[in-house]
Parts: sequence; structure tokens; C-alpha cells
Amino acid sequence: MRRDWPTRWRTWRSGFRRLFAIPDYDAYLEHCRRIHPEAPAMSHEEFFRHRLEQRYGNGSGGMRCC
Amino acid sequence: MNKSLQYVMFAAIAVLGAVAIGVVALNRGETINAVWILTAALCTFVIAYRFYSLFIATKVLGLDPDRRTPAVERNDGLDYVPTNKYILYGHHFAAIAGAGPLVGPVLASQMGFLPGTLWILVGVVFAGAVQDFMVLFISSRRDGRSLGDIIKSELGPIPGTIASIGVLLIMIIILAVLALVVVKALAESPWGTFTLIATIPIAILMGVYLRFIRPGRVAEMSIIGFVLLMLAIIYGENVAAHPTWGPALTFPGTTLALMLIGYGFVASVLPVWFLLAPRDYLSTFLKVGFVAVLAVGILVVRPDLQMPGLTKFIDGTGPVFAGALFPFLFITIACGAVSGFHALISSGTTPKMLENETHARFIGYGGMLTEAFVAIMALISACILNPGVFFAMNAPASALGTTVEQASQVISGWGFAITPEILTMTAADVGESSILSRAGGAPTLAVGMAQIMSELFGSRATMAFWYHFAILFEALFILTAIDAGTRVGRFMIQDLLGGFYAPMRETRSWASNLVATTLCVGMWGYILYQGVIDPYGGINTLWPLFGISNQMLAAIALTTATVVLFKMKRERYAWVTIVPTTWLLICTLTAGLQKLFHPDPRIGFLAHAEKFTEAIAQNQVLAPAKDIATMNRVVFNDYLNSGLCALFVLVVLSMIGFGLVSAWRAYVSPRITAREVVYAT
Repeated sequence: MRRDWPTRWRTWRSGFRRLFAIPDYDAYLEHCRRIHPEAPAMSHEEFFRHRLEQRYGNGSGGMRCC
Repeated sequence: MNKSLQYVMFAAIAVLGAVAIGVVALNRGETINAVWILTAALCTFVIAYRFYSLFIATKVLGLDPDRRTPAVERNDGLDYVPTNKYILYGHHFAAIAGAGPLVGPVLASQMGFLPGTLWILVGVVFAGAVQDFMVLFISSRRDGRSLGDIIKSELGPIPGTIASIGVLLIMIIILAVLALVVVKALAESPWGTFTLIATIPIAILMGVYLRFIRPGRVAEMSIIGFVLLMLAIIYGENVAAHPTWGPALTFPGTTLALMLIGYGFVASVLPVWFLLAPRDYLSTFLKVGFVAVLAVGILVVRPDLQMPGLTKFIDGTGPVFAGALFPFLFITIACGAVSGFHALISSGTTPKMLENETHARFIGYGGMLTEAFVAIMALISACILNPGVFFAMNAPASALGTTVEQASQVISGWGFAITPEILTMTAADVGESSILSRAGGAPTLAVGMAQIMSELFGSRATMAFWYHFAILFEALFILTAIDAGTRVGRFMIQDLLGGFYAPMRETRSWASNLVATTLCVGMWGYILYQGVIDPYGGINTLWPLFGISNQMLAAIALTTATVVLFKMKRERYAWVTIVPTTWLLICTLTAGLQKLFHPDPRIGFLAHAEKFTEAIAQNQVLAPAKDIATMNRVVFNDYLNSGLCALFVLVVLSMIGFGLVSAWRAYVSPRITAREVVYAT
């Protein structure tokens, strides 16, 4: 399968984000469109707040190794 | 590639590795090149990964490529996301690698490069990587649940509670030790202190940028933050030289400790977007960048090791940490060889992103091998230093005295020739007023890295920059750990206390929040402060406690893995986890009991307490304490440390007991009793 440059760029960017645990809104939207097209997705800002809250807000996330 | 060619290739790698290990182990008297250690390490890793981890994957665990993982089953686009194998490997590595593998090997270098190198290689192959891999597998077959939950469901609620108390204690000790590393690195160093303080407004600026100016643009924000950080390092020199700002930013250790305690409290109650999240990203980028730069530097410069293979300090008289090679070397190098803390990461975010169960081998086993490689690089950085400089930086002031003349005399007396001029010059090269007694690993590593980088760029003038870059990287990383760790500790305390008094569990309540935070900060803060005023320099006392607790957690995780193997009716392979568990038990229990009961007051807490109590009874003041009040505090802290040590020993013994019972029950049961989650397809 040949892929065009914009697609490659998006793939690389999303990989980079996942590598550093940066919230990936595009991937989330894509997921929502595919799995629950009828349900409303979070907005860009809501999404980031939600991710931060999940990552550090409940004691499970944010665990750093020595 | 065809099969026989493959075997020829692996045989060649094995031979090369054996030759390299031979050179490292048998070379006596002459200096050897760091490349030999790197070659030995890389060949060992390749062979171990190709053969041993494959054996674990296919025979011991029976990884099933057709089984649905939690990420696939529960894919929500948020926490559970099937992720590319290589990306998840990087993600996992970034989460497990921290200051630990950089500090332990540096301290262990006092016994020479050989014991540390061998323990890292053997430890990671048979214990550390096995633990990370198996916990990742076990968690991914249980909906990505945490180690504590797994222990609760596989061993029972009581061992579950004991394990969570153990984890909380480890958190507290880790936070105290990490904070102590920062204090040791920044005491009397206005340049370092300035850059670290500068990270706070930089992080706040980044936080505001990320929240209000350009929401979610992490990469953009990090570039801005990185540039500001570099400016802070570069102009830190001018600030330190400034007639008013320089002295104003020069703090003794005690003041820095109090500032860190205050910081820990404030930072952990602030909203996460304000300080924690932006700095977390920045420190992750720096961490990965730092490891890459160091690897390139060592490969290109190929420095010679100045430290001998073995020093006379293997007998336990070393100034950096007390105690003989067995068991204390195996306690000092925890992260890098085997780190119990990784079990928490391997049962944290990683299993929720695993695309296919078979990837657990590359991510769990391979990720830990990479961390061992980082530990090897840290060891090399410490061993390329002039041994005299190494001991000047890592021995406490009570052994060295406080002037370069006294220090060089003492160190030359140990058999490592050094002149006061070299000590003064090294301090000047890295832009510090003194390098004496800067224990804790970070400054030593920073000098080693500065030496490599300045050679790489062919200019001695850059040494000061690289030194402060390395210090800042570690300090930044540690501040993030303190901030995040205090939060995690707070939740753990709330959870534990909630068992006795339900309202404590209410995480939204300000009162229970503040109580738990105060308890958490109070505990690590007290240990930190006693470490700073400790006559032996703190690291000497606290690092072994940290090592014991971390290995203890590894023993708990491996015991759990053993029980799970029995429950899966795969007990014929259980030696894979029983062997490392037994070794860890022997090490932690011997070290724990020696820390308690060893007759040498340098090693045994109780012997030390007794020595000081006797002196108090005779109204004598023992150096380096200056009055009876300090003496009393020393005695109290000795008893506190003994208590902690005894608690660790009890926790690990009881977990082993519960483990044996569960394994026996699973063995006599005719059925498979592992509680795996099977998703309908």
C-alpha cells in the first residue's frame, strides 16, 4: 500500500505523541467516528482536561520510577 | 535469513560477548577501554533476548497471539488503546527509566567497575527483565489491573494490604532519597540552584500556554520550554558570579531540604496543569535526549576506564557506602539490574496499550534490557573519572575533611594518588567552588558526562555547561518525581486510612486531602532532613534502605509471578522466577539483618545507636556531632531506621509465607486456578 505524505506525517506524529504519552486528539476523534458515530465526542479542550485529570488526578497515573 | 546462517550469527555474537567479558573480568593492572564493557553488555543482551526471553515467551508463559488484549477489547481511544509495538516499547522505557539506574552504579563504582558490571548483566537477564516481562503478561491477562489488585485476587486480601503498605513505605523512602540527591547536588552551588529555581516559572509559563494560549500543543510548548531552560543554564553562570545574586542563591543543605519539603507540599496540592504536567513532558524529552546523547558520546569518544576492576573496598570499608560486596553491592545497584518499582509500571499504563500479547516479550524484557544499558553507561561515566576525583566527590566530609589538601592526603592514603591541584582544577572546570563530598551520584555522573561531551566537542570550555546540563536534567526529573510521587503517596495513604475511617477516602475533600498530603510530605521530609544532617552524609545510610526496599518489592512481584505460574499449572517452569526470588531474598534479608544487627557501628543501626548511647551516658560528644542534643537525635534516627528495616524484613517474610501457601494450594488443586479474564471474541 502506497501512502501519501500527509498520511505518513500523521502516522509519525501520532506515534511520537503516543511515545511521550501526549494526548492525541486526532486519534481520539478518529476512534469516536469509527466506534460510536452517533455519540457526541469531547471538544479539543475538554479532551485535554480529561486526559490530564486521568493521568495525574486519581493516584494511579503519574507514577514515576526511581 | 535462513536458519543455519542465523545460528552462525548468534554463535559469533556469543563468542564476541564471551571474549569481551573475559577482557573486562581478567584484565589486571592496565586500563581498559569502555568499548569492552559496552560490547560485553550488548552481546549479553542480544543472546539473552533471542534465547532466554523466547523460552519464557513460548514455554513458560505460552504467549498466545490470538488472544484478545485489554487494549483491543476495551479500546476507548483514551486509556485503552492498541499501540504499535515499537512505540509502546519507547513509551514503557520512558516510564521505567529514571534517576535510579544513574545513581546506583555510580555509588557501586567504589568497588571497581567489575562487580557492578557483572551484577547488572546477570541481574537484568535473570531477574529484572524476567520480572518486568512476567508482570506485564500477568496484568494484561487480568484486564490491565495493578500489582496490588493482582496480589489481592491471586494471594488474598491480607497479603494485598501488606503489599500496599510495603509499596507506600518504598514510595516514602524513594522520595526522601531522590530529594537528598538533589540537595547534595545543589548545596553551595548557586549556578545549579538558579537553574533549578528557574524551571518553576518556566513550567508555569508552559502550563498556562498549554491551557489557555494554545491548548494541547505539547510539542510547541516543550520547544519553548527547552530553549528557556538552555538560556537558564547558560546565564546561570553570570547569575552565580553576580555579587548579590550569587551569595543569595548559595544555600547550605539544610535550607535546601526545607525548601524542597515546602515545595513538595505546595506543588502536590496545586492543579496538575499548572506545574506538574508541563514539567513532566519536558523532563521526559530531556531524559530520552540525555540517554541518547550519552550513548553517542561514549561510542564516539571511547574513553579509557581509570577506575581499577576491583578496589580494596570490596571488604566493606569503603567510604561511599558501608558493607561488604555481598550483600551490599546487590542492594546498591537496584534499578538497572532488578527494580521492584517496574512491577508498578508494568501493571500500570503499559498493559492497557498492548496490541498483542506476544509484544510483551519485546516491551517488558527488551525495555528492561535498555534500562540496564543506561545503568552500564552511568557506570562507565563514573569509572572514566580519576579515581581520586571519584572518591573526593563521593566520600563524606567526616572521612575527607573539608579542604582539598586534607582530602587529597586522605584519598592518596587509600591508594588513589591525587593532588589538591587536580581537585581544585576539576571544580573550576565544571564551574563549582568545590567538588568535595558531593555524594548522591548525580554530580559524579555530571562530571563524567561533562568530560565525555567536552572531549566530543574538543573544548574544555564547555565542561561547565555540560556539568550543569546533567545536574539540571537529574534535578528536574527528581522534582517531577517528588511532585507526582507525593500525589500518589497521598492517594495511597487515603486508601489505607479509609479502611479505618471511611471519610478519609474522599479524594475531593480538602480536609482529608490535606491530612494525607501532610502525612506523606512529613514522612519523606523527616527522612530527608535527617539524611541531610546525618554525620555520614545521608546517602551512606539511606541508599541501602532504598535498595533493600526496592529489591523487596521485586521479591514480592516475583513471588506473585511464581504463584501465578503454579496456578496456571506450569510449575515445572517455575524455577524461572523461583531462582531470582531466592537470590533477592538472600540479598535483602542478609542486608536487612546486617543493617540491624551488624556489630560494626558503620553498618549496623543498633550498634551505632549503642555506641552513641554509651557516649551520651559518659557525657562525651562523638564527632561529627557537636552537642548532646545532636547525639540524642542521632540515636533516635538510628532506632527509626532500624524500625523501617525490620518492617521491610517482616513484610517480605510474610509475603513469602503467603506465596508458599498459595503456591501449595494451586499445586494440589487438580484444576487451573489462575484468575485470568477471557474476553468473548
